[in-house]
Amino acid sequence: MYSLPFKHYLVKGISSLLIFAIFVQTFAPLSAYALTSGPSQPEFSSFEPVATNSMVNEFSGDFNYNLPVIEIPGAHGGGYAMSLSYHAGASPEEDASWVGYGWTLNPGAINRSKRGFADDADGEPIKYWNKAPMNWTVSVGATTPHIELFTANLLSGNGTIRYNNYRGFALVTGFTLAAAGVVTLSTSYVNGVNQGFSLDLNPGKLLQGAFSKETAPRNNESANSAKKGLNGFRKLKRVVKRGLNSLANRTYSTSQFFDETGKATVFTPFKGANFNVSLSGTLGWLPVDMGGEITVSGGFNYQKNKEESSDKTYYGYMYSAKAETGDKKEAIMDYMLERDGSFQKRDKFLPIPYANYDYFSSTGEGITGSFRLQNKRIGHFRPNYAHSVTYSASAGIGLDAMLGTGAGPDFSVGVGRTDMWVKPWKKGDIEEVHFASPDDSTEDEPVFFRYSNDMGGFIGRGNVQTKASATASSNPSLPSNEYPRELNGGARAGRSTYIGYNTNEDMMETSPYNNKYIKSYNLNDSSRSYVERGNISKGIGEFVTYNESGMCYTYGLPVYSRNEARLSFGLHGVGGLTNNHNYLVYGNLSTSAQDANNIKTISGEENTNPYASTYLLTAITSPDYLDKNLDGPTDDDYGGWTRFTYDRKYGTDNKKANGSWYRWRVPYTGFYYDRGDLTDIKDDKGSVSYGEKEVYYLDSIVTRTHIAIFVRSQLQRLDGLDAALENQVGTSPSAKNNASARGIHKLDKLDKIILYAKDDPSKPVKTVHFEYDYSSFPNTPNTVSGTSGKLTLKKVWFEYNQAVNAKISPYVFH
Amino acid sequence: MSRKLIGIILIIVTFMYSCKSDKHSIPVSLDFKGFESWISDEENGLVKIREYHGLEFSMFYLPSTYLAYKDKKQANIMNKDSLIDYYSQTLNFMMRVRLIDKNPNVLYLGISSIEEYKERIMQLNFGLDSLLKMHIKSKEYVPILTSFENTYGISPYANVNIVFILPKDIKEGDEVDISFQDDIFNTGIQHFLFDYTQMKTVPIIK
Repeated sequence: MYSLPFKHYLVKGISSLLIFAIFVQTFAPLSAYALTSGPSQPEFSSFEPVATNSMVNEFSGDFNYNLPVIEIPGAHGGGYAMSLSYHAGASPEEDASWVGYGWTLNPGAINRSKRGFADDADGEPIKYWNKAPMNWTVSVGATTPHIELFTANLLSGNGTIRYNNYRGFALVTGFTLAAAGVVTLSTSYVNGVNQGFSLDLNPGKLLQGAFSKETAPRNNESANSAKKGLNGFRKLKRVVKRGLNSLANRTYSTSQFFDETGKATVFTPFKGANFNVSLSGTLGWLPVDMGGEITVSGGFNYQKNKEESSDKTYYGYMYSAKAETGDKKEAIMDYMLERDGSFQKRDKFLPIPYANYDYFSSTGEGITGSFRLQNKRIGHFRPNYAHSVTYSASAGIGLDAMLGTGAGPDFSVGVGRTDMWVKPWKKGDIEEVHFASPDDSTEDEPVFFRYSNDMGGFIGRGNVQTKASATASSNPSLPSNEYPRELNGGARAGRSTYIGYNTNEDMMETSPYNNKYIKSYNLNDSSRSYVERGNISKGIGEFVTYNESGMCYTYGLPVYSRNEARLSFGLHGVGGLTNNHNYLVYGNLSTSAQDANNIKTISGEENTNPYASTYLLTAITSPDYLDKNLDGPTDDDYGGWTRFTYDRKYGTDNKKANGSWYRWRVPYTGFYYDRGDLTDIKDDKGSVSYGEKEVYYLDSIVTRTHIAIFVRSQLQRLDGLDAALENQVGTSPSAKNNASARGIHKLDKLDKIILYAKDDPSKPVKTVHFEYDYSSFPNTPNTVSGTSGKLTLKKVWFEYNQAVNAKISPYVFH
Repeated sequence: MSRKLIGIILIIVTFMYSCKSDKHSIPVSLDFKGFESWISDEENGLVKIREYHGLEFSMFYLPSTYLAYKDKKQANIMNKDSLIDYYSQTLNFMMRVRLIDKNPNVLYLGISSIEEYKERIMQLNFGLDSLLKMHIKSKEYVPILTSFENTYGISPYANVNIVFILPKDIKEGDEVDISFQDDIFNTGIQHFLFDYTQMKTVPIIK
């Protein structure tokens, strides 16, 4: 008869737990907690061209549906078509766009996928948090009587009881077996777990031993005095050895910050100290030069970060050249390391640095692609400068006895200081290596953008076969100067499509380029005046690219995100916390002075710098387009053109000023709960990411002959509320400790698109209507009532509203 | 006697013949599915079919009652009579194109590149206004709305919804000629001739 391999009650218990979990997840799902869509806007995040030919995403298998809704006719090659598209597989944590959950109606945009820092950040401030309790260790240990033969250790054992405030108690034991110091075999155990064996070979010891014996004098008296002298020498050696051992009994650590995936370690300096005391006794027998020693020791050491938080400066990849100068040694560069970590003796390769360039994906009817920044020259990444100090002090008392000779005490005192610097490698004898700077007007195209996998031309990265190598020493330096410094030998990299850009500084009225190459114009549509460029001058203000037909796409309206934070808080010792199913935790966790005082561990970063997460499509012009008055696409221009205007709902002209910005937060309320090790209650953490972003909506598409108006509903949406503030203001609840906290900023939905002919604007040519409900994902937290669902598109239909009303049977979505 | 018998038989036969149901007579009312089948029957005069080189073009006239009923199932704002009034101001047609005896997606017919496919889709979605015309009594009308239903190969045909304004002077007995200048599949000009009397006389939907 078959019997279960494990107990029946265990099966029941596990089954009950699984059923309970399914029940909870079905009726109280925990998935809808991220919401607010992060720094990007769902209206511009995805795009589908009009002429798609498949209902299935061949990569993911998700269902797609595309419904072309409107074409805005234009003359001379102008005009634009837009498509309403649905993509299944959207996460329940994503917010609905202005046309409903899973749907998108996007004219086109360039979206930035930020890696590390924004590429166009030029010396911007960032605050790093690395608050942690002081790391201290108390240890008491002893060495078992070990056998010496001819001053060489033969056999020794040791045991230490150690207590660390992070890791608790540990028992460390070990033994060493040596043959005259030539061959040494040792092993150790920590809490009973073997840490491995190590075998050292040192043939030079043989020569040292022989030499010391030959110098010993032979007559008695002199032999006695010599013995005393030798004994004294041995004592001195032991004293020095104990002192050196105690100084070696210290802990080095490089403090690492919590940081996003893909950033190199940011080093923070620490300070520390070691104190050691020891008592030892030695018994020897001179005739056979053999003896034994026993030592009892105790120690205390601690290490603490110099600062709980530090304000640093960082440079994006585009401005790496500026970070290389000597006075910026504490600044952080934008790169990542493969196999980042402390150097180990057995390592054959150092971590390889990679530039942390952002990915930009361009979308629009007739254009699509992904591109990134390239630097003309190969530069030098380096870690941020950090200087750590550890002080050491030791004292020892010993009692030495030699059979037949006598006994006596010895005392030892030692002090020391260890400095550790994190700094760039010395450059050695080679030519200095530097990135090309975009501010260098003598350099032709120092930085440029290029589409990924662009088959036109190539980027030459050199053909050196010899691997770079260096010898580990106290003063290492970079090797050789045979490696190339410039791509393509300094010539421009070929490419099939040109991607142009202007910084905000280039586009300002005061720019030397203004009125010469660029016109900063302000049309009747206010969307062009939404950016005050003065205090974000180094950021990229616009992109221009071309498709195969020569049509020029201008993405001239940057959409900014700012005040981003990614923080992790230690929960141990923080009172008043509420745990929600071990998934979220609520409490007074923030970096405000009031809260931070009660939190022992805080790690992460706070970055207030605004950066453009999206660039909106503002104009498409034909190859024969001519701007007659240098005021942008207008009716008096030649050639074909299409202009896109936008309305800003949240954000400010001055991107660093206070104002009404849409607040995103992940999770929407509370903090993600990371339980860590079940056996360690001190490593529980709560983490959060949040920031602010601007919100724009497409307002109109204008051609020479027609105009399409995108009418948003006067009624406010019931979903899509932004997140509440971190800290309570007045009576409004805060997101950190209130599960029902919600923000006050609401989003819009698209009611209809009305197409007019410019020669008769009184009557619409065509109207596209949209109808919604809130049936998807009921009980979404960021809704007005807290029980509503997300905006759900139910119906689309087309109408003709002139002399008679006419419509086509609607598309209905269930 | 035999004459009487013959006469009686003739009368009976005459009655039997006259009572035989006329398959061309219009039923008074039908349920929705029956109505759909009725308007799809070529003999009822509301669908015209043309074949050309393996392609079949079908032009369906969609009565306002049918559209109103179909819309009412989803719409909750307007009542049925309002919807009928709404649709009565226009003439709504649906043109269907499919490959005869084959199942591949008709949209790929004659396409040799993705650019050609994109151009065809753009033309079907936004360019049919210039290819479709309605002629009634030597007057020409262009569509006020067109809409292409792309089924992405799930069904082997492509549907296009077409809406014309209902001319004020149209009368029963007028011929309604829908012409399609096929620059998409290059089959020339297709004409679909409807009798307005038949378009007006349709069963009631139960």
